[in-house]
Amino acid sequence: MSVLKADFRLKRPGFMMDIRCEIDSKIMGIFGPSGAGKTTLLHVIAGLEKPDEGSISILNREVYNNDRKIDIPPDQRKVGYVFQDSLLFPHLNVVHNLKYGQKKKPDMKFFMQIVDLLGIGNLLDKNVSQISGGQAQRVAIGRALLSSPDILVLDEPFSSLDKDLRWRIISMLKPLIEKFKIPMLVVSHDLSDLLLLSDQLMVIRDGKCMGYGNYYDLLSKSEAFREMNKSGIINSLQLKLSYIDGEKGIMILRQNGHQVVAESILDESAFFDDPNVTVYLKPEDITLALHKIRDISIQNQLEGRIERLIYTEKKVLCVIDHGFKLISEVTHAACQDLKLEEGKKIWCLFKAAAVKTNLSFNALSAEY
Amino acid sequence: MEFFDLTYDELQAIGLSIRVATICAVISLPVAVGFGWLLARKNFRGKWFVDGLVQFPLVLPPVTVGYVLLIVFGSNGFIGKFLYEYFGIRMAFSFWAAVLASLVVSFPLVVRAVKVAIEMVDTRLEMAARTLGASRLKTFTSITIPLALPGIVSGFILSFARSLGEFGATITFAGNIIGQTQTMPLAIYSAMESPGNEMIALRLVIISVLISFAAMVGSEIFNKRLMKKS
Repeated sequence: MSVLKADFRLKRPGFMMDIRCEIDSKIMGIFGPSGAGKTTLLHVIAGLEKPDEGSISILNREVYNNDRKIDIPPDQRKVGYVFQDSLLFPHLNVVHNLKYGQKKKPDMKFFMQIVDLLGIGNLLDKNVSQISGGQAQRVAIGRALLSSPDILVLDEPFSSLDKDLRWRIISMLKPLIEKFKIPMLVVSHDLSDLLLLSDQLMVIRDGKCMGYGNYYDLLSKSEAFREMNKSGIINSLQLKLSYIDGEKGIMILRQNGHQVVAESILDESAFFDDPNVTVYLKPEDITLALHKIRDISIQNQLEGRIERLIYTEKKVLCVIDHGFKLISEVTHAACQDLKLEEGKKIWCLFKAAAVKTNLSFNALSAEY
Repeated sequence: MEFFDLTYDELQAIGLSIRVATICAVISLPVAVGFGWLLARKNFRGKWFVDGLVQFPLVLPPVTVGYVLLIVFGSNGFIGKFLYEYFGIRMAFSFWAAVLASLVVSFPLVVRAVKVAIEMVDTRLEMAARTLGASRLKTFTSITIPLALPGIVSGFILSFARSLGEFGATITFAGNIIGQTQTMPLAIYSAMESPGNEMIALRLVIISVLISFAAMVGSEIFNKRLMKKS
């Protein structure tokens, strides 16, 4: 079933939006620079702005069709919208904000599940002026979910939060989506934030879709690549925590028979509900070698096969398949010296210190 | 306090003033909320004209307003004649003429206060309410109105206070009939006109100042409580 099918045009003074897409992934990141039309796109989906022509369907339900004069108002579209700066109602306390979109006979079990998952049980009686930015954003997410939407759209939900809080909220969002099976569109101008949630992306610029689909496929589309490269190409992986060696200050992560060593500030006593760890690695931190290298301080040496080479003006991006994909950035000179080509076996080398994980944030107290 | 031993006529003027001002504020408020919302939130052809028309009495001398009302609602006016012939209602020089005169003169002030208050409400909060399943009406009553309430209350008080002080339009359209249309400002004027009644004038001035002051203080306390609550 397609999550979103959109084919519409919208004209505003000095701006023209022309979107054609069919999205079927559960979590879709919408990436683009400021002024690209990301918010306008979400407004159109939610019915807050009306296109001039075209059609939009959400979960195969047509919510807008200019020719057939269909324009379902926002209150009946069932699009849960989380705004950039939470937009909690200032005259209502947290619990009344949460209950605002609930039906007349609210499902208290569902309410408590959401409250527990978001860790906002201790905030219910507080006024919205008494809670922090991160807490407000969690309440806004809860409020949108409690309105029982068909789809959740989040407009730059992390932009006002610092990096630690972003990771905390992102790590909360994924289980929520999985538990309640609500598809989600997330808008951000930060590629790394989006990749932590999904590798399915849509890149937009100047109101137009530059491409959508898998992150690694998009890298080979020049226009989409150019936009993503401005934000910085990044590796975002889901690995499983094997163990933590507090004495050596490292943690061991595994996936598809590969072992990744990362630095750890935690010790063996740290407890995690979820062994999934999101790892974050810059392409320029990965060195390529034709053979495994002995007697070297680099802790991680992973063998893989070059799946694709993407030539840009100054660099070559090498997508390497290890059962999971890693992007390494090398110069044209290095590419020639190593005679890199698609299908060739290669070793990826990176230091444990280059591996960033969300684990340390998960282990922090819920008070933020 | 012999000074404040009010005569029956004076008591009537005070009572009449409070009644006229209260009725005027109560009637004008919902209409002003409607106009305020329309002018703050909607773009339509001829908006400038509607805005201008609503604000017009603000720049007209009140006597002129009274004169126009007399022409329109007087026995020979096109509405006045219709009201008298079909309903037997004589508007001019009646209690309701005093109310209407106050209404027209104070209406722009209320609309302006409400319009500014609604403009101050972040439209994105209304959008958020819509996406949470609230209809236009529910959004208006549960988000816009509560958030604009301090301004709406100010508008109500402004309307009340302006009606309390209304003179020119009232004397022209409603006359100065003791017990019927003689409000406090008119009674003060009459007392000043007749020699030896300076104390009556002073007494009424003090009382009108006190009533207006109480209304202002009341509105401030109400708004402060609202602020505290949110």
